[in-house]
Amino acid sequence: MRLDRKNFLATTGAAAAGAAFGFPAIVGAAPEPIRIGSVPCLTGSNALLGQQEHEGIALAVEEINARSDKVYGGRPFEIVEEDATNDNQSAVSALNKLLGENVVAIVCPVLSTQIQAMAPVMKTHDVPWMTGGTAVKNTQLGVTNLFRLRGSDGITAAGMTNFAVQDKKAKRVAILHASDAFGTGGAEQIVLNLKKIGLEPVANEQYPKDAKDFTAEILKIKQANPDAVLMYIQNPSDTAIILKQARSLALTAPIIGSPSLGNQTAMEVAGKDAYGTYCAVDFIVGFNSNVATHFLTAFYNKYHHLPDVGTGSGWVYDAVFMLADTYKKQKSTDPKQTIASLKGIKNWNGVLGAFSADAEGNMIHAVSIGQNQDGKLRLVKKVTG
Amino acid sequence: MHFDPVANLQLLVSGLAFGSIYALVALGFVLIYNAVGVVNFAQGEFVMFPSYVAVTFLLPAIAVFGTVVHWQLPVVGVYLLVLVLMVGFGLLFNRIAYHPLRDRGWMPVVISTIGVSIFLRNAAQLIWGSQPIVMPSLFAVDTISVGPLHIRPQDLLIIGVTAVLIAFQFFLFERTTLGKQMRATAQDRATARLVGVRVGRIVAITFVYSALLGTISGLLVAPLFTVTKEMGALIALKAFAASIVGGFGSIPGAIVGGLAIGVIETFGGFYISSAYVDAIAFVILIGVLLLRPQGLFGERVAEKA
Amino acid sequence: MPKTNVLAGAALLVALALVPQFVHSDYLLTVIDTAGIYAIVVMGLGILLGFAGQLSLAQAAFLGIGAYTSGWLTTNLGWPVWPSMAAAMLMSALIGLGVGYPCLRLSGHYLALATIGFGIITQLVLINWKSVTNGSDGMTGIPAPQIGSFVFDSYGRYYYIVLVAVLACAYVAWRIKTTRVGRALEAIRENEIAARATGIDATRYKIIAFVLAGAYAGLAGSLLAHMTKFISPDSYSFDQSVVFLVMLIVGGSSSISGAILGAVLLWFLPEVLRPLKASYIMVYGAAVIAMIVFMPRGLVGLLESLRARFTRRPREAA
Repeated sequence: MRLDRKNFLATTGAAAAGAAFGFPAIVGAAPEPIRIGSVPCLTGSNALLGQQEHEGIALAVEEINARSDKVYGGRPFEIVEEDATNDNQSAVSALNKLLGENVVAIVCPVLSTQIQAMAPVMKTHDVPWMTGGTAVKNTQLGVTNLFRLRGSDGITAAGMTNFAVQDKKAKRVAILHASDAFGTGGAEQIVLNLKKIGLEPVANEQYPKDAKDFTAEILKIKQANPDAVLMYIQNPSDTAIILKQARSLALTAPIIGSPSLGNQTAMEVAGKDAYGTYCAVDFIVGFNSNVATHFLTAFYNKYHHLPDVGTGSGWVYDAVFMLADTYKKQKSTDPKQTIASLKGIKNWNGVLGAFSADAEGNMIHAVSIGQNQDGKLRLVKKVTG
Repeated sequence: MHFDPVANLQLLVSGLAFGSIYALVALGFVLIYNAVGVVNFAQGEFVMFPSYVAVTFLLPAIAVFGTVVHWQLPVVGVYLLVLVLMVGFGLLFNRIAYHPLRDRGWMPVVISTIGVSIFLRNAAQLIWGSQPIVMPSLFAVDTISVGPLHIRPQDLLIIGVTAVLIAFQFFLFERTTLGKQMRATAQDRATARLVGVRVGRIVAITFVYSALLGTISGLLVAPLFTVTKEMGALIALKAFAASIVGGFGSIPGAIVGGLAIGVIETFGGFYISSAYVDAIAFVILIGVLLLRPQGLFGERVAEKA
Repeated sequence: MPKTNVLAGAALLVALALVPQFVHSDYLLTVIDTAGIYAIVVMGLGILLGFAGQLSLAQAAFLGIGAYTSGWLTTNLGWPVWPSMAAAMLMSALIGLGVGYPCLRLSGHYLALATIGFGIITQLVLINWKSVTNGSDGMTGIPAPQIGSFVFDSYGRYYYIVLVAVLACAYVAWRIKTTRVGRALEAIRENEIAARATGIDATRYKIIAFVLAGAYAGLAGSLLAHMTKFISPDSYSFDQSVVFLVMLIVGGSSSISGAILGAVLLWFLPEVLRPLKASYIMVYGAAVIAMIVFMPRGLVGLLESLRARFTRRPREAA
């Protein structure tokens, strides 16, 4: 049709003219990248976690920077990454290095001891700090710019305990936990929750760091004749070994574990010995969420392995997107303004579910209980903390 | 805590299995120490590194330097391949970490072996990544049930192989010329040289033998848990402690010490406290050092010059 | 010439004192402060190992004992920081005595292993004695030291505390080295039996060395605690003791400046190598082997032989 063709030519002509005039302006002022600091533990004994965080962040940044608008106004994200290593001193050094490099936000770590080591530094730097550590204390350190993007141990432990007692009708609950901060913190929370309903654990075993054989602990638990065993372990490798040894020593009580029992690596390594176990997770595969489904597919396509959503890749992905959404809304990256916005977040939808900030900076208040059914994690119950 | 014969038997089997691993690693320590007067702080990595090499060829797919490779070979072939490679490794170790320092006393060598340990642990991470890797078990079943008893076949294998190796060790040292030469070198190098023993070659052979012992330990113990870069470290420390408890420099001492530590640890973890399990070996060690420094079988307390 | 040395020393002191004026990066100051604190630990090890020849692999344990003593006194009993630091030193010294005394009969590998065992047990106690140490969760809220209303809560301010401590510890070590005590320790290192034969009370001097090594590490531990305001047991591992040993050997084990140099270099090195990411630790391990093979007397030894070579030339020319 003649009109359309004319319009087309006119529009094209206008666009070309606009480009010709606008071109120098565009070339002259490239949109300034938004620098986000990330401090995963890429080396050391928790390198696995660090690697997952690195991958999750990279994926989020890639997706955002592929949008036409990027974050907003054409400004892309630029990640400045430093290795926190295993050592608290190095972690603080890494953080200080990042803070000296003009970043507007910090993402990571997930290790609560590193978070607590970094807290004094972050108290004096008012940039939003997106963390994944689950120790209850993290949000009680008086660091007002700290945000926790996962359910705390308080919520996870409560979820596990309630599931054991209410759903599995357990009266004799045994606990097995790692001796690190995560394990002992979680175990304490479980004991607290049991006390609330007038129960005490029939066994409370911990295994030392680097332990390879858990025969003693498993046998002691067996001896206490539990009708549910609650495990609070962070390391996926330990988790897998414990499940295998529990199976080979015929520990038959139902096992309910911390998120590591839903960890991809742990499930693969433990294989059949993990079938039927339950875990409290930040997130369940197949759970009804577009964001989650998209994340899983995109992650697999990029990295050719499934992500460890809760502990590693999912929450950092959410953190980056949350920052992106906030910056877009504000049309600015001003840290103080961002912190205030983040504090007001209600029902923001991410991979891990719905985020709503409370006064202490906690954003996730629910946990799910899943079961390993033939190697796949299936949702069994959702618990709101 | 009531006495439960089933639990105790299971603890015993488990304890003996771990004790066997400690014994093999301790044997490796003692052989090197006897030959060259130095403790090898990289002995744990002699356990860890060959395990990684083994899984590379045992698994249908594995990530090496970030890319997935498919180098699966038949099981027997892999085990032989790894043993052969570790012979080369032992020779290389001798050449790099020990030989240039052999006249400088024990401390530089100790530090050099520490350097090798650090290097290997992180080379392992660089090559194979930080993901723990499962070594396929040789057995189809995870447990053998004998009545109320549940025993892991791998534990039995470990104990069996160790027994064979101990017998071999005895045979080697008592009945063969090579063994006698190794003993002579260990006792007095200068004299050994005088009677025609080629000391340099014996030292190299000792390192190789020690590496092989470590390798076999690794191949035995890895299917029980996972292959990680830290798997050798604590085993080696405890084996070192065990060899002192047994009497440093004594071969039967290393074996008995290793088995004893393994069993005591497992029972101690059950009856006393699982939190302090790691301390048990070292408390025993310190006790022995203070009260009977020559250990169970040792003859001398004085340091080799 | 002594006068040049004094001038050079004074210039160095002035330069050191002015560092925080020129370095404003918190990152660099953290690294510098930590390096200084570690230098104190390594100097202590230098007295025990470098001077007296006793291989102890427990410095990290004493670091922990110092940190937790000071941390506990300030957070649980509300003690002010300075007396807590003194108490930390005292506690570590006492435990050093407690460890050194039974270990007197041990030497070489036996001693090394006994100290390793002590170190591992100490870390386990720190992890499990929850009522005192708060276990793996660590101790938070450790206060910064202050003089009147001047609080040392920035890395720049803390630098001065560290500087004073390093200088004081170096001075004490130097006095030990150049007096009878140092010579006795050296004799013991060379050949203990011969030393005893010449009337040296080896027992007494070895214990002094143990106590000093413990005290130095204890002081360092408490300095770290009040700087980072958070401590947790995983920092006080056997691996960390190995790091201190490597620092001493690389720097030059029988020299005080070697101890300081080794600590500073090997703390800065991983920071400098950050761009290498994961491969840097391999480089680190390889470097350790290379150094011990090619530079047995450490960097200080290397510098000394270089200096000897250069000062020889004028004479030859003449």
